[in-house]
Amino acid sequence: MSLTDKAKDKAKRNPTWLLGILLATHVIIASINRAPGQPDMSILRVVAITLTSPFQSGLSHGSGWLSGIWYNYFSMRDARQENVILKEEQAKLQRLLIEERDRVKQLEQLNSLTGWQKEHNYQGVTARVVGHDANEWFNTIIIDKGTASGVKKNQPVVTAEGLVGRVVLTTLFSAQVLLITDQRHGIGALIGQTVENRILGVVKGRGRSYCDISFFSTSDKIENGEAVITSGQDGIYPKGLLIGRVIKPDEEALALGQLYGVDPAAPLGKLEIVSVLDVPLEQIRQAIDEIDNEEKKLEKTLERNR
Amino acid sequence: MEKVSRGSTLKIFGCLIVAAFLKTTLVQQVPQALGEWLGHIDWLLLVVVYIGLQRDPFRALLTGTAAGFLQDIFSGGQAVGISGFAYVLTAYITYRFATFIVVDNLVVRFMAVATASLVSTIIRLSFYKLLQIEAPVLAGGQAIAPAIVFGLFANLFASVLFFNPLSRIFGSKDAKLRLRRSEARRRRLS
Repeated sequence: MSLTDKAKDKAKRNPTWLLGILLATHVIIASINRAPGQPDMSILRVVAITLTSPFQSGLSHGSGWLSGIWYNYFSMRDARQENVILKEEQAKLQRLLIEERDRVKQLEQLNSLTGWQKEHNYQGVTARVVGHDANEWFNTIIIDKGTASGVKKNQPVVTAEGLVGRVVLTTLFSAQVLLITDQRHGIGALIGQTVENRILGVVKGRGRSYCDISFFSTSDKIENGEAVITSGQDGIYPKGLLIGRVIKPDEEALALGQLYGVDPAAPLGKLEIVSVLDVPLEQIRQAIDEIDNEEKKLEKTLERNR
Repeated sequence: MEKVSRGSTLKIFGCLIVAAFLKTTLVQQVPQALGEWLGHIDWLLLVVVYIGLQRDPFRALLTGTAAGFLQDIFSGGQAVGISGFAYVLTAYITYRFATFIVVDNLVVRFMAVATASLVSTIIRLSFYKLLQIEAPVLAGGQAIAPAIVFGLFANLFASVLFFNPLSRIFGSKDAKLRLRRSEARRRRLS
């Protein structure tokens, strides 16, 4: 009897010792992982994501096929008595139609994204979303482009509709993106286009679909539906990317201290194609300096008026 | 005997990989409204519960460990080890549950899934709180109960669909063996 068999036999007779060992191991791993100054387990993630992203990519590319199965299952269930050949033909056509629609949709997304990049003069890498977070309480996605395509940590990720998040982990052929709705995500934001009515704030993720925004100054003038854009002051996002639209709470909720909400402009629940922006550091610094100068000018004007 | 054991281990590993893929890719393949519901289903937990119900503690505990690592590695939560702890404990509880009660009927399986879902969610949330990991569900505390309830119902619903293919994968021999064992236990008790 080998050592493994002995261990197995012992565990089967009295599993409590194995339970104790495994629980203790997990507690130790979690504690080491969270201890201040300790490197996180990103190497494990890099290995796992590198190994699995090709399969995820394959699955994602076959989305039309999967949707076809899903659609066919429901649409064909009641038609079992029909002619078998006719049924197969219909299934094939349906699948083709779904695949074609999927392709057209993706092409449209790609076109609008490329157009947006050209319009804003940003260089970027276009990537496909191949996976979502395995934990329902965190909001990250996995894209099919990594360091081999020039993707780097902390690069902003966008769609033509608006900001998606930033890269938090890179592997050779894939990357993990922290969505703006994740609670650990903070973005320097501003509302108002002119210097006089500009209000600076911080947008923080609230959960699955929304963000909160807290302001540095009075927020009385802010109306429902106003555009929230990046201020560029956080040193990660360039100035002027659309984050979303303001959701103003009712007066009663405001009085109780509820924060203004932000409805993200990008369709975060249904992302397919995104762009990882390569923003030169000088551009971000320039935006910070620009805002600082504007703030100083405004302060001077206010002092003069007093 | 050895061959059967290796085959089952491979099957379990395959099921865990499929469950991880379902968890990370299924949400984006279906309409958004459905995707939000599917996001609450813990496919890995269902595999752990199924294996736990087979009354092999060694395999159940190791399945829990593997499922936990898969869950944490594919998550941006920066908390490797927490899901493993929750799943291992869940596997043990399910195994204990299966040794006391005859598990070959749907209601009992439902009870096992419900218990496992509650235990796993509560343990994970407690750890996030303890280790001060920011999870939106913990903000303000109001979202905790809905998260637990949504997870519970989603897992119960998914178990009905998922346990059937799992039973086919792991073969009917196991089920017959369990039935014989439970009948024997009943006879012994009477």
